[in-house]
Amino acid sequence: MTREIVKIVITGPVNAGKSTLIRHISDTPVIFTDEIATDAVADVKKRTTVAMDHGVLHAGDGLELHLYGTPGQRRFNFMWDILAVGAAGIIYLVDGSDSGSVNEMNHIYHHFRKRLSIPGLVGVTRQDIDGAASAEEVAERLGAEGIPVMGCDPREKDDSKVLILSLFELIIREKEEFEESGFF
Amino acid sequence: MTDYLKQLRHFLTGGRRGTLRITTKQGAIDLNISQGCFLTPSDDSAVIQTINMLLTGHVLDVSTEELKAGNLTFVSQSPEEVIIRGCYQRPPDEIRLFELSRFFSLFPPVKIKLAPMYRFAEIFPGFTAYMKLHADSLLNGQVNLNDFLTGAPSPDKMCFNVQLLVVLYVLGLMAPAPKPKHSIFNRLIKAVRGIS
Repeated sequence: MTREIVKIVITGPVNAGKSTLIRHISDTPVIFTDEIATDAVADVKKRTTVAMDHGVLHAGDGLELHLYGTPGQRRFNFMWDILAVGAAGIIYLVDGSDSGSVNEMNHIYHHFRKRLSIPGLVGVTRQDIDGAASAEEVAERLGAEGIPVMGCDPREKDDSKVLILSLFELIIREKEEFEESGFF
Repeated sequence: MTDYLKQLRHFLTGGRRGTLRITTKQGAIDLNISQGCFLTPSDDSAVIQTINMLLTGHVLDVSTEELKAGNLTFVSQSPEEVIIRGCYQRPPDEIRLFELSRFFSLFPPVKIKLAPMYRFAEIFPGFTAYMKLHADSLLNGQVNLNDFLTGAPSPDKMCFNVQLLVVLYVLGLMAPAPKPKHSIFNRLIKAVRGIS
């Protein structure tokens, strides 16, 4: 049986919900490389990802979806580019209730947009918190023209599924448009 | 009488160039379209009025003509905004509402496409409902418009749903649900949908 792997990267600032999303989609135990937070991150969570999160969904007949979550902190940004190699798509997650998270997302978003030409979308989390930035506000702050930005709650399994399915939709559409354009 | 919706959609999404002539009891009004944008002598307001009239007025006939640019110097930069404003300016009356809901209820199952409509969230009352429909379309593979319309809990909500469907249809954000394929991504979609 041939093994086929599709790789998706999930990135974004600390505490945006990346690990939660991967946990919902993976059907094997997720590999977490989290360590006790020692810097400013300790104010928002006890442990944080330092290398990557990795989950796998088996779709049958040797087809596997590999989900790679990046560390949120800039000091581990050498992992961002390593994890992005060979990815079919990218999901950016940002905590809409934390303006610092949105600012940091701006840096991460443009880091990847300069390097990758793969389909992507932005998920804005914690929309249930009063005063949280909406999808359109985040889109404006990121200058995210033409890329879908949507509110989501990765704690809800269906929301995690919708994010992944939306990304697949974008990937398929891009493939179809490329094929219809006559290059094949 | 909903053929004009199809024609308007073809003009906007197909990049066609031409004039859509709408005849009512009061006379004829033109919608001039080129490359997916409206052309007008001054600004969008007249186009918005005309779009709204299509949904609320009594249209006798719609025909297409060759576009004569003439004094059409203003090019609307955002057909999405024009369509949304036109659709929501004034709700259709009972008769038009029935015609429109009948039109959409006959549709085969559709998929709802994702587009960055958050840019218009402030003026698009149906934005949240659009995102919900899109999510349903992803999770179930398709959306049954008849179920969507008949599931409205009140006449106001029904009217709201019809206005939303007009926007999505005219802007090309709905398409017939594809027959299942066996590509890698379609297999992954099936697997993700199956997660419980």
